[in-house]
Amino acid sequence: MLLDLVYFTALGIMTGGLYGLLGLGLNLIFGVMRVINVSHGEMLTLGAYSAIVMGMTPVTSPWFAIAAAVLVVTVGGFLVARLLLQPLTVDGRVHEQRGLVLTLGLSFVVANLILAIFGPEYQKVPGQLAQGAYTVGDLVLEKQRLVILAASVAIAALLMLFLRYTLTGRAIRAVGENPEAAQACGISVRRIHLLTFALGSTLAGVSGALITPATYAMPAMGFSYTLYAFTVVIIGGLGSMWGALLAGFLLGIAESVSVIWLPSGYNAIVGPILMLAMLIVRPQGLLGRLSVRA
Amino acid sequence: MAANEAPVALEARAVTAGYGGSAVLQGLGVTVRAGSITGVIGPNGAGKSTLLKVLVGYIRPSAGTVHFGGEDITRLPPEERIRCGVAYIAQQRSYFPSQSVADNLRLGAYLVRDAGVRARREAAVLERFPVLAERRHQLAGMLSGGEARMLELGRMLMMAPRLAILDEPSIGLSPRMIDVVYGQVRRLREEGISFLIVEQNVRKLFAVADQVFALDSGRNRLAGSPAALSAEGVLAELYLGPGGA
Repeated sequence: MLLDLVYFTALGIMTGGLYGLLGLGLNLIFGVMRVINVSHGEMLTLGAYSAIVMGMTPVTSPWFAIAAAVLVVTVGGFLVARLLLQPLTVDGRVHEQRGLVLTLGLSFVVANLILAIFGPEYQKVPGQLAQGAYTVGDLVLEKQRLVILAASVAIAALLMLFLRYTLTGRAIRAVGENPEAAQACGISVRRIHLLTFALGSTLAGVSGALITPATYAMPAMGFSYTLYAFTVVIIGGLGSMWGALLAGFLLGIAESVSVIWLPSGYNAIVGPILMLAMLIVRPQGLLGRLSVRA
Repeated sequence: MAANEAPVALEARAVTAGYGGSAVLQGLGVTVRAGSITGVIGPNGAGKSTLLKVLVGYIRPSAGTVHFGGEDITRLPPEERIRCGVAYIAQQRSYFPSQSVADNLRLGAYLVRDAGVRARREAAVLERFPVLAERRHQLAGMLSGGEARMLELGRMLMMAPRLAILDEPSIGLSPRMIDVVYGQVRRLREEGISFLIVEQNVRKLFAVADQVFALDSGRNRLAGSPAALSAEGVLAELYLGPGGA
């Protein structure tokens, strides 16, 4: 029993990093542009399928697959921001309802394009990020999952350092906090929006490329990951980067540990239940602020 | 100084602008002479803030032109205008509360690539506003209303502007702090910066301004020196309606 608990907690931590990464991207995009990006999960799908396409070439290393995913999703995110979201931007913020409807439509388009091109079958990136497993006592931990965890934590840490200590990072936060004042500093809100959406989408795309060696990809996978991302953001607190990371790990652990008590297949309801509980008990989330900044 | 003879720093001519089709400004014009303090007054909805947004480039006018230092800047994006020397402090919280005072100042010099220039200007700002030096590493959100206004002025000075556009610098401040802020405005004017100030506190504005434009419903209503304007008594009419005392 105790061993089960430890084992599933460890498993949960390993998926939790990815949830955190996903929530981080959603939070960044919302925090800076005020877009409720319902197509966030589809960016993950796009990343996963870019990795799969790369795997079909003679270069089969999953690391190259990840690089391909980063490239495709960054460019894709940039184009979405430039061609679709920029026309909806007024006074430094994307029009909230129009942004929501647009990304909702986009999520259908991306998912169905992928369905049309690749078919409904489950796909997998050939190869593994790392072979074998570590054994600690009775505990068996796949090396690959540890690599995924390490990669997500490293990416999250780099993002935090970037936002905190570089001038561009400070400018991104400035636009999120007060676009008018940011403009008065000479920061181009347009450019920061493009950069932010591309960056946030890339975080989702990397998550997609990181999980496909460990699990399968299919065209409709994006929607459930969008839900995960929203769950993470609501539990962690809207706009809070640290909250998203913390909530990612909590969700991963809760979902994983729940299989000890719940019948198999029911662990998907853990996230929504946590989200609802959080909305009732602490609507601002773990690390969120109660007041919404104007 | 005969402010009427100084060269024109900023001139907006026949500006029509607004949001999504409805024109808030209807053929409006203002002129700021170099080294002067020019005031803009008018009742709520007169278009004062909209005018400022046109001048700093947040809103493109559908008709009319904006010239700065003799150059047509009507089509320039905000960051290019800032490079030209136009600075802007918006009505409320024109700074970043969740970043430190020092980072706020560094963001003010976002367009300055030369680190030496940035450092020199930051030192000058901290010398001018000792309270900012004391609180350099605190979050800007911890500052009082008056200190925050100093931070906004400091942030603006990081770009070494030639023209400062202020939207209601007295709002939310105690009378004593208002005097401090306007004392700084006067001092900066002596140092050669021209000002365009929108202000509800008409008395305070009249005490410092060389020239005042009164707007109403997006149009020019009156313009002149504070002395001439108050003599005409049209101010009461502007704020209280026809027949108002």
